[in-house]
Amino acid sequence: MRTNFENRLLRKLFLAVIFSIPIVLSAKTESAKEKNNEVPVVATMKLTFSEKDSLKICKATITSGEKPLGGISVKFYAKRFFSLLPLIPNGKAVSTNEEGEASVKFPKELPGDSNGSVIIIAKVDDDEHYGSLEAKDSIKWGTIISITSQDEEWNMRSLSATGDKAPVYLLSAAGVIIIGVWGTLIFVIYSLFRIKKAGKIKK
Amino acid sequence: MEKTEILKSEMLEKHHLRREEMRADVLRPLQKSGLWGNIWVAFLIAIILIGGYAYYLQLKNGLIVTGLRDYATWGIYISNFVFFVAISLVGALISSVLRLTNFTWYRPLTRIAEIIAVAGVIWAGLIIIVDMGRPDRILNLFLHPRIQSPILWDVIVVSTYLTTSVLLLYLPLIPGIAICRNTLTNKPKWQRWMYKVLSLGWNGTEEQWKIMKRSIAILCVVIIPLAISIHTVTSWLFATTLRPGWDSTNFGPYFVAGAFLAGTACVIIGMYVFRKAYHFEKYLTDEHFGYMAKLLVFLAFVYAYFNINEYFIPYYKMRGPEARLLTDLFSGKFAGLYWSAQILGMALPAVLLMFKQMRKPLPVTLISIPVVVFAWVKRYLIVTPILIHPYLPIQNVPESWKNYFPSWVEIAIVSASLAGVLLIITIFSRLFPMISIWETLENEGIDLEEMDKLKIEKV
Repeated sequence: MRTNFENRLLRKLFLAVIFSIPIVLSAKTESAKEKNNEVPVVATMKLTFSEKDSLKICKATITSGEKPLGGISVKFYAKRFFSLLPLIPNGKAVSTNEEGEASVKFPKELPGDSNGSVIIIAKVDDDEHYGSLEAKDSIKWGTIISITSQDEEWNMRSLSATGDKAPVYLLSAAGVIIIGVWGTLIFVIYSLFRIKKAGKIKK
Repeated sequence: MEKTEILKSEMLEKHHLRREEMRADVLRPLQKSGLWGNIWVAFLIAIILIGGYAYYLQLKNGLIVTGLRDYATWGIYISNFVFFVAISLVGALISSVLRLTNFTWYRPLTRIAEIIAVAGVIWAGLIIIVDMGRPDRILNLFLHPRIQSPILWDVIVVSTYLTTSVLLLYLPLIPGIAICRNTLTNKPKWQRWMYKVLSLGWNGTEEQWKIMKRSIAILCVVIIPLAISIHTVTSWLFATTLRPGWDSTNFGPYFVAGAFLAGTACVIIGMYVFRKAYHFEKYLTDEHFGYMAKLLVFLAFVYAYFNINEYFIPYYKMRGPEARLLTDLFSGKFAGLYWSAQILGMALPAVLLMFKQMRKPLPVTLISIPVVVFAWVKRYLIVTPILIHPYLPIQNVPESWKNYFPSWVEIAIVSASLAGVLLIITIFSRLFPMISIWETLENEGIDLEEMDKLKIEKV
């Protein structure tokens, strides 16, 4: 059996819970509204290429809707077989100007694929306001290394070639030395047999 | 006419007695081995067995049981290989260079120098196989050879030099083996059979002497360029690699000069040990130690010259990674070893041996010990510090990979290889005369060839 005191305490607790429900619900709604107000700004990056005279330019343009975004660091790379080659030495970044543009010169004589295509990549790494962005495109500005010339190089005799394509001068020099020295050694070994034969004393 | 005949006969008698005396002196150590000799052999075999067990662990678990990692891929195995190749050069120096330049004092030392050369080059070949994680792959060198690779050059040169050294050890030994065959008749059957086979039916006929001496002369000419090649090619294993400290055009002569110095010191120690253990005081005299000491001084100066070229010029420029390496050697973590090697292993011995009192057998031997020890240390300094200072450091590797310290497995195997060299020399000296009788007697004006001729004529 509950005492009067316990009954009163339970009643007050029940009322306190009932009255606090609307307050908690309204607080949650406020918090959700605040969150909705922090919508991140969406930025996009576009990569374009232009060529004037002999100058080849890769340009990245960063915008948020129609608005150009300045002061963002962009790094430019060319895709290679194993990793990305920075187009600016030491992997330095270029900042976008007021028009949201950052550009870099395309290097001369950068090897491309069999068609001369090179994949260029522009990257923004973890920007404070806009996060990470990446844009890539292919352009036929690379020098073409023909498969024929690669094959020719592969089949050429050189110090760095495979064993069967050793330079002739090296093969002949090594051959002469080995035959000369081992020929002498074989002659000396043959002399051992001659020593044995010469040991027989005719009595 | 009669008087001349009598004088000739007296002289022959004298020569005969001298020959018999020398035979007795040289063969005495072969008669029986003492207690200390047996303890010595047992000690060497124990070290080799421990090394054998360590190698079993390496074969079973791979190179992970060593201190070798992606930075220091060559450690004390390769240092040891270079050291063995270095000491093996002395065979060519003593047997050939001195012979061809008409010196005669070297003759009692030839056998000691040649057996050091043979033992050194045998273990050089073995230790390089130990360095391989998969020794079975050595076959690929022969199945898929690349003549452009300095490793193949080294294999060719090491095997050629070993063959030449064995022949140069064996040929002058044939008359000595014949003496063993005729004298040591109380030896076990296998030993008598070995003497019989190896003596090649030697009877000292004119033809036999002629063929032997001509073959030795041929080998003496061949072995000089070979000896220089073996160590030059070994240096090229390093110099053809683009690394600070190894990227040097001075490496070939620098290695050859250091090798002659280390090998000469080894022969001096060997001379002292055999002089004491086998009572060869009459043959390995104070004069011989004096000559060898002077040779050591000369070689130390030549080596110092190449060291100045090798270290001072890069120090003058102090460029990039080379500067970091030199700083580590001169004042960093390798400074203690580096300066000990330069001072105790080269400079101080040269200075001390300029004093006549220091050129007596005991002092010159004591001075030669640090020369040999620090010759090994120098090879360690040539290999390891350079590997941990590459031009292109590897990214994101554990800190421990950037340092190298040999594991107990490596230390045990290297100790076993050193014991192996000593064991070959010890066993050889128990079976064959350690001093060439005919060459030493020729020094005294006694021509064994002439005596053999007279003996055969009598028969």
